[in-house]
Amino acid sequence: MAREIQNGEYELGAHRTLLQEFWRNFRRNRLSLIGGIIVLFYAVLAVFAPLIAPYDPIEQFDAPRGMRNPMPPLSRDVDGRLFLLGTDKFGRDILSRAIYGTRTLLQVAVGSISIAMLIGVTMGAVAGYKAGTWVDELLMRAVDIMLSFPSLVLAIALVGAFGIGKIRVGPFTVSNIVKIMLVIAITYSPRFARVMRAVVLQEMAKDYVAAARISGASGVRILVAEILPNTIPPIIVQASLMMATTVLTTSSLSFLGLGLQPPRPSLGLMLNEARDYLFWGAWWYAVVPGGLITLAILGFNLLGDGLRDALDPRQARRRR
Amino acid sequence: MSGLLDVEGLVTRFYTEEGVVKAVDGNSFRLEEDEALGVVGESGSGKTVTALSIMRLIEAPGRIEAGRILFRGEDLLKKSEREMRRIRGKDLSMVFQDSLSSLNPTLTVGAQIARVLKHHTRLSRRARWRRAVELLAAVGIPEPAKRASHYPHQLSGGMRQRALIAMAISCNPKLLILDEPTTALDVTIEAQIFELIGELKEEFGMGVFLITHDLSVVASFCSRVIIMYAGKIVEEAGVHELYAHPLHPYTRGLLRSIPPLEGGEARLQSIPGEVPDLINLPPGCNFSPRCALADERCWQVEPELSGITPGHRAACWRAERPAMAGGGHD
Repeated sequence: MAREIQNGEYELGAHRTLLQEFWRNFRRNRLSLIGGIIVLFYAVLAVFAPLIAPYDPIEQFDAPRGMRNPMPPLSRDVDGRLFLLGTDKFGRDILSRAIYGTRTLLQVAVGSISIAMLIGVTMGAVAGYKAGTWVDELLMRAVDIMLSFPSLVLAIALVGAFGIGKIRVGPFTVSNIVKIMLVIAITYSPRFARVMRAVVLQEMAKDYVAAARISGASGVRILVAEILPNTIPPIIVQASLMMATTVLTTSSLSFLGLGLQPPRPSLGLMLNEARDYLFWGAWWYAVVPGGLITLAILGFNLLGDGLRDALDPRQARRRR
Repeated sequence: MSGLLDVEGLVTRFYTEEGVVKAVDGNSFRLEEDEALGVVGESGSGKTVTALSIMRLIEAPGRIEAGRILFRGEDLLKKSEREMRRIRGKDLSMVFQDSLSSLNPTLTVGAQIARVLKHHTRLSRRARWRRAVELLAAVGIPEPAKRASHYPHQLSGGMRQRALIAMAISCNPKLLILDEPTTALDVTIEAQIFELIGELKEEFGMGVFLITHDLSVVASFCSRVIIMYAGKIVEEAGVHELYAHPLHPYTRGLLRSIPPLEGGEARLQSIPGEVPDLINLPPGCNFSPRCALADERCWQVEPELSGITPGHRAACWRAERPAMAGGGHD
């Protein structure tokens, strides 16, 4: 046996799992850590909204004598209840509404990104695997057409086509929130399709795919079992960056009155209501939802950049 | 009577936008049971395409145009893709040159070997893993149980190549194709790998089809050699015969470009000119533009690969053995 001459072979690095390696790379970048903390903060806010929010987001409170809703931060109602961030025009607690609004916003964002990923990744994987055939051509031209519209315009058009509020499809009723998720998912799935197709093409050229074929694996098996795991990093990065965009689009739709409908608390809708009161000096009304939206977008973008650097060290090195 | 592998008149072409690439142009050869056959040639001479044709892994725009590939008496070109999948990795296996890209970076080495076993055996999950560890041990990887759960990037180049070989022999193939298995490795490890392959060949009694551009590797490992040039076999002989009496001018050129072991003061000679464009092959003999001996006939008529002496074939008009040309026997 050739066992004796092992000293010529050395190991490359210590035994680290892929996850540990990723964490090591990720931690090095302070900005991405900040992004991660922001996103974590939002996640906690969304998950524990009923525990964190001091009041029911729809309950209306009466202003004490001599005051009117919207009340500024730290004011109290007739019964002496404290409103940390003030009230809105109907006397509802802005803090509670903002917390619940964040919850719905993240629900829509996570839901629509998941659906978009599912559609886009499938399309992209098929197109990439069948690259150069009419299937690829058909899928990618459809993607081109969808990408030629500005995404918000496309989303508005889709809401227009589906109708505002909940919709009926045959015997099924689709709730408004699910409908919005679908609209945004359709709008953003082409971006996932593009990324996925490119990654699949890149991976297919690698020898391990040929090696898998040589070991007798079928085409579908190679695509699912061999190539798919290798496409996860770029798709995660894309999803994280798209979260930021989706937060903005969801808020924009609500702001325009095409998204979430009152009385469901929504940051975009709050921003819209606040417009009328800006000149009356009710700054808290707009700053709270606006700030939350901005911070969420910042957090997801920082996280996405950090993930890209950590998952694709080649690109990160180039940047430094 | 047939060998383990009989390739007859294989023609593989690639239909590119620039034109038709005649990658493999009408080659025939035979590989006997547990024989090691070496295939030597420059890049682009059709070695790898020949191997991929045998595996039936030529993809568009490439096509196998003609010929028969008899593997254990059955024509692989007549098999359905489904039947081929059952043969690949089981009876017919292949190892690539670049071990890092040939292994899936997201799967542990053990899982990749186990996956091949899953395609071809009915072993249980646990049994597959156990067998994967056994195979890693068989190819001389220390601490195989630990290594099995490592990812490719955690292993050295030599170990990865061993793991790849373990994967290739996991189902006891009858024929193992090695496509420049040691190009990415340094010389000491190269020697170890060939030692290992030699042992496995004896142990499992498999035929080996070794693709390389290194004649010295062939000399130590193979019993017979095929020399390829521009998609064609130009010479075929037993190793000793080839080294002692190279017939084709191209083979002689190749041999002159290897440094001799003793008294190596003489300058090494390279073959002048370049490999011809496989789309626009010259008329006559493919090698004629670079050949010092070429005459009118070489430029116009293509020589056939024919037996010059028993067991020694060459495709050259000028390939008469000097002794025979003189009319005597040696």
